[in-house]
Amino acid sequence: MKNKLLSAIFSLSGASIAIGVLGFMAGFVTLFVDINQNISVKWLLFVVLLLVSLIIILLKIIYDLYQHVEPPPPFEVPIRYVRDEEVFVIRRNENFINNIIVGCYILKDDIDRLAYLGVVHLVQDRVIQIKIRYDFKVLGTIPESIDALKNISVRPVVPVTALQQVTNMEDANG
Amino acid sequence: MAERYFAKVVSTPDKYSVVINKGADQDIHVGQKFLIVGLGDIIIDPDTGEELEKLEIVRGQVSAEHVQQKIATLKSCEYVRSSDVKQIKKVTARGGYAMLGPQDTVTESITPGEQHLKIISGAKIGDFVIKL
Repeated sequence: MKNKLLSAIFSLSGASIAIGVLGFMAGFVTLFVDINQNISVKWLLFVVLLLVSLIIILLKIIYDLYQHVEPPPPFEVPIRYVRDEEVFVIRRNENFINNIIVGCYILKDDIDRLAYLGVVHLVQDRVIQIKIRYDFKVLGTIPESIDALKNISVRPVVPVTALQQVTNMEDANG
Repeated sequence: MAERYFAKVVSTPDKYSVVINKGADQDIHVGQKFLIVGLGDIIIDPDTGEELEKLEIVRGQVSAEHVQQKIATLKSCEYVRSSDVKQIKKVTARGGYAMLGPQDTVTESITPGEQHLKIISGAKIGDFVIKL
């Protein structure tokens, strides 16, 4: 958000608007006000107070916009695999809520393939555990190294065909 | 103790229940649900090298079964279901009916799997309790 605000202010259109506003205000003032005239302190203080109030309100709006939360990414890359618990650990992401089914996709031969079906097992303060429920045997073994894990993306989206496939396989296994 | 952790396990009488160090004084009531977790390794962010937090190892989900003043006994409230058993019986008719040709009767029956209470795996004294 900060970058968005800064880029909006310091852009070509932002500079054009600023020059335009300054020119308009200067023209407006010289048109109606005699700049050689003495002014009363009362009016000067009033104008200063008005401007300060406006600036404070605008700063508040900018602060609120800055606090506006960016939407979380639609996927997460596992940062660790815990073999004993059969869980992938991902960073906290609000798209992943407790007990939802997630898909673990792997880019193999330039094709995105569903490798594992998982469930959000536990949401901690800063990480989330994804329990692997079904292995589609796309890979021989579940990757554990950091480099291998970077090829996996965990998404809270699962194709219905994958669910049907799992159901069929479970039925076939009795 | 961190705010996330409501209590600690003080005893493990059997594989289905645990005793915690909070009771009626802390407004625990019968039927209230909790999660028992143990703490594992610290998870480090591979990109930034930042220590994120300790991995919580889930022992099981429990509910308060018996509440005393300062302690409470919690029992597992999760169930595991064994898979259904599918039986196909084929009976070939003999005797008089066999003269009309082979008479096979196929009977298919499905015995539903049974539900068992899930054990609280690996729970030990000092494990943490999270309110659900």
